[in-house]
Amino acid sequence: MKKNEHNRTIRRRSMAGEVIDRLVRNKTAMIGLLILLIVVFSCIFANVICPEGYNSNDLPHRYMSPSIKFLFGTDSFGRSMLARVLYGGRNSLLIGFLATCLAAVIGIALGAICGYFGGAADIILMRFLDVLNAIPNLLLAIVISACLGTGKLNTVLAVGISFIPGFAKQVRGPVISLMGSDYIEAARSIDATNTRIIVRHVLPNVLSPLIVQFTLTIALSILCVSSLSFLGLGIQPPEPEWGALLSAGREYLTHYPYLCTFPGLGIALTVFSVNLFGDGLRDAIDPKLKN
Amino acid sequence: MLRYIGKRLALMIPVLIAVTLLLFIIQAVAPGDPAVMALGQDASETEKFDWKEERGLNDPLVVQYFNYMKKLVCGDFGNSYSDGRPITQSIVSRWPTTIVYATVSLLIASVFGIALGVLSAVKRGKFFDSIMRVISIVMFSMPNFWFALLLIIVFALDLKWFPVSGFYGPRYWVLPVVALMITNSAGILRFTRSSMLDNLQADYVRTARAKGQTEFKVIMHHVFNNSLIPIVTYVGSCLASAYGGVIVLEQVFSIPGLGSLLITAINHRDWPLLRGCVILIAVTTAVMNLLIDLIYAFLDPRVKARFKNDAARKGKKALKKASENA
Amino acid sequence: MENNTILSIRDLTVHYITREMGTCRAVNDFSLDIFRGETVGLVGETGAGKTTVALSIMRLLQTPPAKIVSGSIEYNGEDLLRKPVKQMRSIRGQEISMIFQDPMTALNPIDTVGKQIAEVIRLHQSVSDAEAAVKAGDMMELIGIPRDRYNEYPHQFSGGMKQRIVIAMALACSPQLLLADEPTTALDVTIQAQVLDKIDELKKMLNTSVLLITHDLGVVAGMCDRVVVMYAGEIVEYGTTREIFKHALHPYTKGLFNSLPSQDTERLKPIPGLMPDPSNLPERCKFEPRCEHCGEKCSACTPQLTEIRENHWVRCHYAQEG
Repeated sequence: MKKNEHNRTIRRRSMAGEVIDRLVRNKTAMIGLLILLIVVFSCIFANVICPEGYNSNDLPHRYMSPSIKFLFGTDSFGRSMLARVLYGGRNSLLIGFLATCLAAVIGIALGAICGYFGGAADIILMRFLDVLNAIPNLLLAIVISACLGTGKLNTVLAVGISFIPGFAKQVRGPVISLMGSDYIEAARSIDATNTRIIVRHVLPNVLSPLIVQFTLTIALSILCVSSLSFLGLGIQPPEPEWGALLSAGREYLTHYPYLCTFPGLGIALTVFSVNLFGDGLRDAIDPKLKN
Repeated sequence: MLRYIGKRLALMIPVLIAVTLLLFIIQAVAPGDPAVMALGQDASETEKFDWKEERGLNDPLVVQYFNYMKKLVCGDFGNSYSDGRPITQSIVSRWPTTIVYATVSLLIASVFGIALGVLSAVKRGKFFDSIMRVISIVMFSMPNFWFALLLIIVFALDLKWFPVSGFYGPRYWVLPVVALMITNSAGILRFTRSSMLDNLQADYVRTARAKGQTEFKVIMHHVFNNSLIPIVTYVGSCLASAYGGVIVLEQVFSIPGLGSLLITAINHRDWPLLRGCVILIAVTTAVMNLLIDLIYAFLDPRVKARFKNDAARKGKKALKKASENA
Repeated sequence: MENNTILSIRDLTVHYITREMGTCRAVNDFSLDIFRGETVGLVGETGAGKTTVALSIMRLLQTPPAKIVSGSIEYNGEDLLRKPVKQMRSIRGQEISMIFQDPMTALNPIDTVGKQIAEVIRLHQSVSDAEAAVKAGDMMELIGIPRDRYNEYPHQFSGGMKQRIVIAMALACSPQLLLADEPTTALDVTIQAQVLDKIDELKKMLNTSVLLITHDLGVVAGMCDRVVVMYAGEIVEYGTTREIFKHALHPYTKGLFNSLPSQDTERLKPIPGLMPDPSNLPERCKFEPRCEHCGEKCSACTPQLTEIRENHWVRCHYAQEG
């Protein structure tokens, strides 16, 4: 008998445990997670890494190229780019995350309610989602942001609303097909209230693709927030934000290109790591799809 | 088939009405007074009132909306708040630039993405595949405006192969198109690879091999043609991303298109101009989506059959009615 | 090799090697001769290795994870396992054909059925497209589908008709051997009969040998000249249909017959236990844990195939005549 045959016993694990196990064994996903954590924690501890803050002018040291003293260089006011990028990261990441949460909560609720109740509510919602879909995502965010104005809350709203249709559609489909299934009938036959059925029976089944959708939407959301700020909406100076920093640095592209390199690298690195992790999550949840 | 197209075009109308309604509502809640933007901070109340009166801005929103829609149906997008000139001319003249830019980028992105995706799937697990997977996920995650800036730094400023901005000839088009297509081609590559790999496991592939078919034809005829169908749908969804990306990239490359006009409109709180740009983009997106759906129906006989059946059924019904009445 | 033998499988051993499961010994020392014009039934439970044998003959196994470890499969004097792939391709569809279990997914959804039948004709016969289309139409008529449905798509046909189309594709070039892997398992009972009749009719017309893989003994009784019973990757019993049905000797075969319900059955009698884990096969009689009649020798070593009665071979230490 071979040695490893001893160890291959049948272990009973919960579904979540199996998913986490597959995820942890996926090296690319773990690398993605690592990079993401490094970025996130650098931004969280920005005040430790750059105690001088993001707005401390240092005019004698304007336009310094990246060096040991100024890791990312300095901008037109002598402010440390490292500080501005790290503090900017706080904004970009937080707003992207909050916007995704907003979109998820509202989108999932809408999708679940419409899928579950059907009828007029469903039809109205689908038409409304069609309208939102006729406008490209970023354009919708731009229009809403233009009307609400700049600022953190407004940006969360603008970007969040533009991602609602994605979640609503994701949830509505599986909910509708679940509605025909037998065990919902069974739940109804024991007189469970509608809310209870939705929350305890329907949602857990649509959860898996939703988790993946949530992760990948965070990536898109951060890109959207940066794009908005780049265009002059979203978050504006003196508040740092990666997209806004890129826009400011653009003026000096010919002479000081480093002003653009690092904020963009922040966006790219974050989105890249989220995508790596999201892919791994998708493979872990449904290994049949694994290619 | 024509019936279907007609039906879809007809369905677009309520959607567009809703879009314009949405825009009107958003305008109503927006902070910032367009009169102040146009006349300056020091304008008196009377001046502002008169300015608004001229443009019907003092009427209730519903009235404003109806007036706008009346003019819109005749193809008149109204006048700009900034300079009072009719908008229709400027947005219609800029429309081809933006649409061609976005659509051509998407087409090139599709060609590259599909070709590389197929190769990647066929050489699964080998070096080429691993490289492609890494590159595609990196490219997919890049903010296109940052990538555009990097392209400018390297190719326009350092190497001086291409101009930095403007849109006057073929040399001006290279960097903007590359910048716009990069995210989409990476996405299409990944999706193509995934779709191909799914279909490589299909039973009919085994049947084809059991017939003695060459591997090349198995992949290019059986697997690829079936994989293409969902890829077309995916390209359709990339459309939204392309038309959104255009807005940002027109800023980076100073391209005189609808996108940059849109940004100008926002900065000046020029609502008619904003509405005009958004409506035009929305209409284009809807028409493009219809086109994609038609291509999809053309490729998939199961969908094509549904159209034919509907038409045939209606034809039979009409025939039956005619014979009953005779 | 006699003139009468189409295919000669000798000591075929196939393993599946994966990281999760280790080495699965799917087929072990499988030997079988198939004669011209006969129908051989290959019977066994799911996982016994039947499909693997068929796929090995066609060299359609996914390698990895599968690996043909040893053995030979002789067709027309040549070992198929050592042939270059290009030559295998000319054999597939033309000399040896295979049909599979699920007709719903066996056809390419975006090609017309006529084209798919014509495809195999154009691959192996140097005829023009038009001639191939005519021949494909002929095959369609032969299986009972009107020729004017040539340009229709698979989704426009029922399951039974799809399977008949698959049969038409398989027999279009008059192969010597047809491998049918549970061709009727996915079909309704009434359609099953139709499809099997069709196979039988065409087989007689073209003098094709058939290796019919099934787990349904009723099908075997109706169609097969000889029966091979497989268990855990090995042949445990084989002989003429009459012999096996009237004088089943191996405990597994006997158990299979006993588990069939009949009019007198009051309680179903399944064979207790499960097939052994193919990644962990013991070096003794593989059926021993589930066998009612086992003795000392059974846990000591693997029994060999011995001819207990005329044209009737059994792999059992304690099988006896009568």
